[in-house]
Amino acid sequence: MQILRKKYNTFSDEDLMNYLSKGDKFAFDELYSRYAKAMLNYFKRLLWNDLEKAEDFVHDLFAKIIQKPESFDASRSFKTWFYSVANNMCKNEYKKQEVRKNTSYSIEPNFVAKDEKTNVLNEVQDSFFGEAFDKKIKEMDNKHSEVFKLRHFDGLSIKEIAEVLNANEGTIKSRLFYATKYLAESLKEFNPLVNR
Amino acid sequence: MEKHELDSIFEKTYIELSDSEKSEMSDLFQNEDEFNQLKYIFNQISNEVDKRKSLEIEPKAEIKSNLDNLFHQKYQNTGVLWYNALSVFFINPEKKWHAQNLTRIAAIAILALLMIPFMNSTKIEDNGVLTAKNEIKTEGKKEKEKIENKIVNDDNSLENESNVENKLSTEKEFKQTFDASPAEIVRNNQTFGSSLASEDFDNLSAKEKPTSDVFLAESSSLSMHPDGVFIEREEKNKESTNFSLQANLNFLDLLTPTF
Repeated sequence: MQILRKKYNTFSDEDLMNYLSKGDKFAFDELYSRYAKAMLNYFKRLLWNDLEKAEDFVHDLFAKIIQKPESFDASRSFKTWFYSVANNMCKNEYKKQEVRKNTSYSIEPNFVAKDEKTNVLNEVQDSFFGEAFDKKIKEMDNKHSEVFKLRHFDGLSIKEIAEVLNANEGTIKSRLFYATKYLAESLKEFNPLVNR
Repeated sequence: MEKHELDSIFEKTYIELSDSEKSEMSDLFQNEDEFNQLKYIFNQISNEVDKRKSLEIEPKAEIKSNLDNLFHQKYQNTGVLWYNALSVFFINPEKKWHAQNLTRIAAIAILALLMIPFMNSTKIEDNGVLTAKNEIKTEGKKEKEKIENKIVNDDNSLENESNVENKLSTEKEFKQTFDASPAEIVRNNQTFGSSLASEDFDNLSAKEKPTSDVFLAESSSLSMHPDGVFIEREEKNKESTNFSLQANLNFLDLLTPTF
């Protein structure tokens, strides 16, 4: 029967989902291979780097498409639908844990970062940039950070992010701009040209 | 703005930016210093993202096995091989009827069936050609056979001539030998044998009467055979060519009890 096996790696996500809903195990395997790693790291980022929790969420997410494949709207993109389901799971977890970090960091259009006169370039190493970057991402408003993460870490387009977050593209675009500007202002200490 | 647009902006220098790009990005930077600062940070962020992507972890195999079990529990009745089964190879419910493999195979079969009469007609034409060729061959063969028969007949005639010569010489030897035997005994035998021979010969029907010269007898006075078998052989007939080897042998056998 292996001879007659379909070439699942050439199928679209939506086609695979269609086969999966009819009990095709190979379709499920292909979908898992495409999204398992990305979703694990997505959950890990959104769930405070808790790997164990992230793995549980990956299991629950794929269990959902096994148990209720009909919940997928075939008119939508599978990728955005999948991310939106994952995003909702994270939101539910936030509510459950009643953990809302840094919710008051909405960036105003006339935001100006604090001008710390101290020259930190000579004091920190390049490896510190990552830590500062993480810190600023956490300090950022969630609605900006999630757009930034989806854009840069998960590689989604503006349109896909808009679908995942159920917002219009203009909103997503402005959020991404402010997130980028905030990070640039916050991390300008690491720019040797500025601190020369 | 898509990623590639941002990337393309940060790949340029501030001077290279068009007025439209500057106005579009006015929220992010107002002057060249701000642009350079943003560009540097953006590159750092890109490097950080790439670094973190390389450090991304793989999900445990345990998760997959648990999901596989869950899948099998959910789809117990629908076999895994359903879409890979042979039946789906022929009839795939997701394909249109003209794209079904069964339809294609059936179409090929029909075409093959329609081809059969044409194939037969081709065969008949071929046979016709072959028959014509065979006729030519048989004619040639017949001619060859005729020629060969002629050659064989010529050889036989030569053999017959040699046989006749041999027979004549044998008869001459026989006569010489017979003349030397006692005359009384031979004559009694000749008389008895000739009477019997003539009576038996008359009793034979026309069909049974031998036509061969070998058994034809003339008068008893001329016959010199001790058993009453008379051979019609005159000097002029002895030269005929119808004297077979078998007759010659029978003749010799008859002589055996006499001597």
